[in-house]
Amino acid sequence: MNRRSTAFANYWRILLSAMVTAIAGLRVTLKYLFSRPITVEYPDALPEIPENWRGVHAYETDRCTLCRLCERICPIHCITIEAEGKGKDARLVRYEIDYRFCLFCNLCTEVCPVECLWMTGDWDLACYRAEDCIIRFHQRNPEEERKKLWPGMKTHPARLKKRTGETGDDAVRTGKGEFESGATQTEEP
Amino acid sequence: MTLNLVDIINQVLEWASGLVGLRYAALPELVRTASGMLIACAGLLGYVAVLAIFFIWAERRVAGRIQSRQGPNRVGPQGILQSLADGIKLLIKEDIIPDTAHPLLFRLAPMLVFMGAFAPFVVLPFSENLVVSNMSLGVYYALSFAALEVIGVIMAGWASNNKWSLYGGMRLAAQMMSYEIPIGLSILTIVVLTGSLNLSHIVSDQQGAWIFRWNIFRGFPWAFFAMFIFYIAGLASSKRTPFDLPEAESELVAGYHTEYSGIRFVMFMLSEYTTMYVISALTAILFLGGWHGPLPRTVAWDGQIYWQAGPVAGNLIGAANVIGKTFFLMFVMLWFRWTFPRVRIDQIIYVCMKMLVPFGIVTLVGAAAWALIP
Repeated sequence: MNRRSTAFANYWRILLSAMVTAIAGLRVTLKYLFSRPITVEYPDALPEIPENWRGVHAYETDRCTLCRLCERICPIHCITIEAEGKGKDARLVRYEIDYRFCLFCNLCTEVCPVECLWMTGDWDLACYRAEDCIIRFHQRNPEEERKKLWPGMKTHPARLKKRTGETGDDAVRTGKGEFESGATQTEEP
Repeated sequence: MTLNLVDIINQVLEWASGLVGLRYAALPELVRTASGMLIACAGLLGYVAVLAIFFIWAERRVAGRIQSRQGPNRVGPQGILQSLADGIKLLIKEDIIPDTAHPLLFRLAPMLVFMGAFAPFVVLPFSENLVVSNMSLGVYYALSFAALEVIGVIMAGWASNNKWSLYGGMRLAAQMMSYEIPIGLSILTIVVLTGSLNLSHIVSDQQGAWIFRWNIFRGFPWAFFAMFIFYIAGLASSKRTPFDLPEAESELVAGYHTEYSGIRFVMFMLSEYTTMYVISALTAILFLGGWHGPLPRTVAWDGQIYWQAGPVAGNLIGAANVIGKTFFLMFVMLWFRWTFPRVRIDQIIYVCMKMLVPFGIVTLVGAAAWALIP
């Protein structure tokens, strides 16, 4: 008797919960049906980048003391610094970051004692050749170059005031000249 | 006797032949009837094809929006030509028949399935004159041809000579056969309330008082519950989620149409959306007042008629009512599909045998008692 009445109660409980949960589920999907999709259609629209986004680096040659801390702390050694001279006479020859491997872990910018390296909101690094992912920051004028190469790049707010009309040699964005070899070069579409 | 679609087509043909100086009426009766039927059939086929193209696109868009995605939006405005492009792709594909498949049954199965799905269109009224055949056993005809689909699907499952196909076909046999019962019971509820198996009679019985003579209101509560039973059972017999076990892609690759590709797969897709349309249209006609819908055809107050639509406008408004309600119910099917997870086979049989059938019997008996009260 008792078991039978439990089964009977169970039946109505199942029926009721089926209806309640069905309506709850339908309400959830209806809400999403009329909400905006979160997809950003990338080539047509660009996503909104938060302020503290860790993107492509910006590097200020003039402030760099060539301490090589960034090169040393990099867990995958994707930063290459080439310098001539010793001690106070040292002059920067080449400073490049290989974005094929960069983790965007932010260790290099945290360790920099003079804050000449920081991260910007740029993320659009897609390129047709792997070598194009190596970016050279060699003696460049950061502001001018960034404007030219990556229009979306934001200037570090702390840096903005301090900088005064620096000039620099033409920076090379890619390592093209370095890595190009006529035989293996592929046509860029 | 009211005009039907074949008569209307014949009248139009007669008028058109008069324009070019021919006498259509001089042809034998048989030829005229046959040509009218053929043209009506071609028109309905075109309607079904456009419908399927539209709803496959709509389904993908709705799925996208429910999942916070965009859905197809590249081919044509808002991606509306996407399923047309997919259809063209499928049509130009290689026609593959597996080595071990039964060649004849394998070819026959999709045709049978589509036939079963398409045949009820003969009796589905769009409005009082826009119906191919106003036969007195319309409901019965629609039900019996819906059962033809089962045979086609089992045939597809068996002829493919593939374990997934066979499992899908067997599941479908169990599912569709058991869901015929609640469908029959809920339709009988309406038949008892109306006293007719003719779909046009059932609709004209619901005329008046704007929407409050619809069967769900008139036969409350019996017809109201019968509508839910019919719709849920129809969902199961059109193999839609949450009852899409015959093609459960996580377990059975694609179920009974695993081995099908190209044009034959198109026929299965087409028949799925056609069945959805038939179930939705039958729900709209049997329970939701058919063409006596939310758009009024007569404006009357206190016994005085202020405006009445003419025969042409009346038929068009009626068709708009039927199609609008059908599209809404089809949208609910899409909404269900992207809300509910698939149920197990034992749950499907539980829902049918322990819930829909007992409640169907209750609604039938209740409606019978209702009908006795004058």
